Amino acid sequence: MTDPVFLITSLVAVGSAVAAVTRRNPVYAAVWLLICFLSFAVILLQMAAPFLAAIHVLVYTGAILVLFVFVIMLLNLKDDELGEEYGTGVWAAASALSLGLFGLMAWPILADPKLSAPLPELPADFGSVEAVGRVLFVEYGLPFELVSLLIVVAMFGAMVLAKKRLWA
Amino acid sequence: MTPWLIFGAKAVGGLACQMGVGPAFTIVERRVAAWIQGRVGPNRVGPLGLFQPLADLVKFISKEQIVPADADRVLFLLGPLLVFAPPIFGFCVIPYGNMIGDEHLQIANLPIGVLFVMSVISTGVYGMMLGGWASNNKYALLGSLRASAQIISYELSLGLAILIAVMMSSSLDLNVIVEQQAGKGFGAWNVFGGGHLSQLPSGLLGFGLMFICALAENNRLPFDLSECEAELVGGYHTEYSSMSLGVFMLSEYLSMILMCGLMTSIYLGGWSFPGITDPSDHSILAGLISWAVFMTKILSMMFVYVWIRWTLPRFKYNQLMDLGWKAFLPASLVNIALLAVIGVMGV
Repeated sequence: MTDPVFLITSLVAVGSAVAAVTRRNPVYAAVWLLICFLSFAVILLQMAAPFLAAIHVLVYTGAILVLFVFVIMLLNLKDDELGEEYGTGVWAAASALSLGLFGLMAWPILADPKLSAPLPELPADFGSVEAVGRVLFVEYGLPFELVSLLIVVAMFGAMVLAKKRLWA
Repeated sequence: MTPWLIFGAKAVGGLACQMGVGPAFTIVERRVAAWIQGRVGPNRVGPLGLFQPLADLVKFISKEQIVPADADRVLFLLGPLLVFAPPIFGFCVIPYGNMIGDEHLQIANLPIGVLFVMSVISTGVYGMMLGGWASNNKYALLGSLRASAQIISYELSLGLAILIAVMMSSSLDLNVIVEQQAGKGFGAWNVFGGGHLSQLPSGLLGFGLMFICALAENNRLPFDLSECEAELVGGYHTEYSSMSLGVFMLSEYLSMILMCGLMTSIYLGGWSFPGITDPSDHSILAGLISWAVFMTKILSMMFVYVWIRWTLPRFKYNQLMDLGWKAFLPASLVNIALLAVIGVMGV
């Protein structure tokens, strides 16, 4: 737990996440979110999950966040269009709520004796592409296919919403 | 030698492939352009004009760095750096030569090298978007929107084309992919089917798709709509001056080198060439020869880039998007399905 690299990356991740929430300018919020995602990838690398780290960067920073920035840039809001600044009461309530939620999630993890015990030895290929692929396509083959079906349905939904005249 | 010294040597060697060739290629591009158009081209600075990049550098550095009055200063200055860093980062995993002793000529040997390059390439778009937005100029914004939409559209087909080679080699490790293609003749190159004649059509189609998608990813002609001067003044770097413009231009060449290095490694046998390199020979001389083969391949591909630039006219934007989404994406999906069927049948 005292690994300095982990400490630094997790501090950067938490700090940039807070910055992403609190920035008023949406483009800066997106930049902080970018830093947050990249530090997640470093943490995943440290947890012996290189495949997950690469996919995380590819999907979250390479695709999803690019679309966020794209929309923000297209709207290109001026300062007076951003709406009223929130008062201190709203900030305090929001902070209390998120801290409470964090405590609610952290408490059972810290209280469980199984989770504070030292981790069992990981298999040598843990987190490699082969191991992840085997789990995805062999062990959980049916759920995986069901999820892909769900994505196809969502894609059709997006097409129906985007097209003005469906059969043209 | 200590491990750090070896790592340093490898890093310097890898950077030299990219940072040395990038600036040098600006003069090659201009001379070849002049040659294709029947002009003379820049030939005044040094013998054959070879010191022109140096003169350009001095010019870039000595000019004033102007930040437009209403621009977002931080993001404006951050933009070029965000474009500059990813290609260098990505080149770390490209093997630029055969092993010397026990050391791969590669800065970092990752088991997920191909995925690493893909994820690094996908982050390169932020610099263009943020730089164009921060300029507070409508033309720059339009240029950056065009560039980023084009890049994320073609990234899909590019990824699928890369996947073809990965399926043939059944590995994501660039070293393994290159070594499988080395020392077994031209037929073992993934572009020619990776040793199986039945995979030849998939290999050719995959390489063709990847080459065209790489042109689009690098915003090169005939897909350089993000900076077509007739409509957009200069694209996302309209407001940039001095060395920050120079960094944008240099990164274009660096990402070209990364793309050509990746294509060479996964489709064209990397550092190997039948009859010239011997994969089992790990001496220093053999390593240097394999490095020379690798650089020759990259430079020939970049020559083709320049050749295309001065031969083909620019596409229209709707044609570009139609080509990416309606032609290349289905074609690469069909290609993957075909290769998977061939692989399962085991012919």
